[in-house]
Parts: sequence; structure tokens; C-alpha cells
Amino acid sequence: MSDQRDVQEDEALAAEYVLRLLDAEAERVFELRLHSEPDLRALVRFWESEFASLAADVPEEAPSPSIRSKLLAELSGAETSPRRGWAWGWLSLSALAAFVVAAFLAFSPMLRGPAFDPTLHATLISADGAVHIEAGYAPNGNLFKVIPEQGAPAAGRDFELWVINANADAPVSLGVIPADRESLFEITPEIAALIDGGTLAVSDEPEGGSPTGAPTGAILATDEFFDAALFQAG
Amino acid sequence: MTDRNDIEGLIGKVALGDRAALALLYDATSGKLFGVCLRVLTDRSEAEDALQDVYLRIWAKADQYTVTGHSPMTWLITVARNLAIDRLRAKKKNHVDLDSIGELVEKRPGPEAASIAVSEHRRISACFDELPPDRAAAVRAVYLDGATYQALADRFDVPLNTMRTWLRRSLISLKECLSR
Repeated sequence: MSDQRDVQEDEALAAEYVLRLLDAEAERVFELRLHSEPDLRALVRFWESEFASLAADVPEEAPSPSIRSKLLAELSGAETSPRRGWAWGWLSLSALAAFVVAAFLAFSPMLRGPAFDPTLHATLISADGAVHIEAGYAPNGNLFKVIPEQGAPAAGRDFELWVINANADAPVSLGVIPADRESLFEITPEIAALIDGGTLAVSDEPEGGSPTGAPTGAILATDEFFDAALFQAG
Repeated sequence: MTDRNDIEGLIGKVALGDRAALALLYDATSGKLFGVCLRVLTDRSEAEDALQDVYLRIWAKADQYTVTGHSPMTWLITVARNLAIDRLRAKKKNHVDLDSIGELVEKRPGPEAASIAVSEHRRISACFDELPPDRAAAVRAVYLDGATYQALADRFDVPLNTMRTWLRRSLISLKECLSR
């Protein structure tokens, strides 16, 4: 895979990705490769940096002063909005196994860092309890966080996350996730629209993710996304 | 004048949730980022909405800035450009204002304000100069105006696949030149 042609192919592909010239499917496939190919990530960085320097040609423009005040007002609002308490609401949900609650409380501080404030959550636990993954989605910035709590794929395999929603014909991939550390990534508005009312699933896939764009291996666990705010006290 | 280290320091504070730092970052960089949004979206009020999203995104993602390995302005411009493109694509699927590309093809970039990464900019400018002028203009139009392959194919009156081959070849030449 290292002959000159392939290298040039990837150089052009990475540039097209950065320029946003790829169609949705090609972009998705490229992003799957990005997870496992550091050379490709380096190419993306290279092009982002080179192309950004083109912006030197773009003259500065003054936005209306109201934008600054609206922005700062929005940030103050975000900070004073009620966040406290919602996790405690979980304690009253007797239907949930105690260890799920414990795991949730243990992970919620991480899910709720200053820059990441999720409103929808999902807890993936496989039937045998061997795999446990926490996930949270923050609409502000379309950020998605995944915390692999327990379990790892077999050698040569990867865990891949999917969103299932009645509004989508088939499961939509969120990509392969690292099993040894938490990850925070941005999802497209199209995928974000499927999360509310959707179900998160994790499947066991060949290294680098499903080659077909649909789950090919066993679905290890699923969970409907739930709105943390529904459980807020008061 | 705010230099690279100041901006980096501000991003670091924003990552910790410092709103005052975000206000200072806005004051130092919103002119450039608004310019980028306006160039893509052409409509002032659309660009202002995008700009607000840009700073909310910066607020949400500042803690990840360091792992991108970018200089601060590169990161900020990349965030702004991507959000502006998202809005543009949502607004008009695969359609770009052809007039603005036409204008760009004829216009040489004027003397630029030497605010960011001047040496990098000289390097990429020199490499653009090695490309045939219409191809250099096409790559610029894609980055700065958010042109799609379809828009370029229409503009240059060639089939879509020809346009793609042609642009990819230009990108490979550009990479070769930039890596020298």
C-alpha cells in the first residue's frame, strides 16, 4: 500500500476531505480510515494548515456589535442554566440495576466537563456484562462523547457505534471507537438529528470498521438515548 | 496587537471555561473569522449567525485545540470555514454563486494584511503560482468560497469527472511543491 500512486491518491483524497469536496459516503469512509491511520491524519493536518493560510487573502470584516453581546449572553445563560441534580434523579429509578446507576454517577462528571454539556445519554451493556460503554451527546457543537468503561474487542477487531432511528433506512455509523480511552468527536447535523428518539448500538467489526457501511458482526448491546433533563429534580 | 502566544493563551483559558477569555479572543480574532464566514456565505446576516456558532464551537472544543497540532489561527480559521461551509451546503445543495467564482478567476489577490503566518502564506502562494492560473483559482474557490465539483464543472464547462481529475491533479502538484 505504500507505492507512489497510493500515496498520491491519499494526498489528494485528504485534500478533498479538508476542502469538503467528498460526498457524504466517501467522507464517512474516509473518517473511518482516519481513526486507524495516523499518516492520513497527518495529511489532513497538513492540508488544513496550508489551506488556512489562504485566509490571509481574506480581508477582515467587522461584524455587528450585537453579535458579541448575543454570544456572551448565550454563554452566561449556558452557565447559569440548571444542571445540578439530574444525575440524582437516577437513584429513584428502581428499575435500573444498581451498578448501572453507580457507573452512571461515576462517569457523569466526565461527561459534563465545562466544555461538554450533554443532554442525551445512552448506556451500552452487553448481555454478559463484559462490555460497558457510556455515551453522551451535546447538541451545542454536535459533540458526542464515548467512555469505554469495560471490555475490549478481540485482536484484529474493533467496536463500532451505530445510531438506529425510524427516520433512517439503516443503522448509521458513528465510527470505530477506541476501546482504551474516552473519545470526544463531532458528528454531522444529519446524524445528530437521529439521536433524539434513536437507539445507540455497538457492534463487533473487523479492524477499521465495517467494510460494507452496515453492521457485519454481532450487535453487542443497544440502548435508547434518554434525556437527562427529564430526570432533573424540580 | 495580539500575537500567536496571546491567542494560544486565550484558547487555553477558554478551555477552562473562562468567559472573559472568550470575549478577548473574540475581540482579537472575530474580524478575520467574520471575513472568512462572509467570504463563504456572502450574506452578512447569515455570516453573523455563523460567526456566533463559530465562537460557541470554539467555546465547546477549546480543550481539544492542542491535540489538533495546529497553530492557533489555523485552528480558528478551520473551525470558521467548516461551519460556514456547513451552512452554505445546508442552504443550497451543490449550488454556488457562479458570479463570485467568475470574479475570483479574474482577480489577483491584492496586497494582504500580514496578520497570520506570512511565511506559510508565501509558500502556498508560490506553489499556487506554479499551477495554471485557472486551476489555482479553482482550488482557491473551493477553499474560500466553498465551491463544489458541480459548481466548478459548470463554471469551467467540463464534465464533472473531468473536473474532479483535473482538480485532484492540481492538488497532487500542490502537495509536491509544498513538500519541497
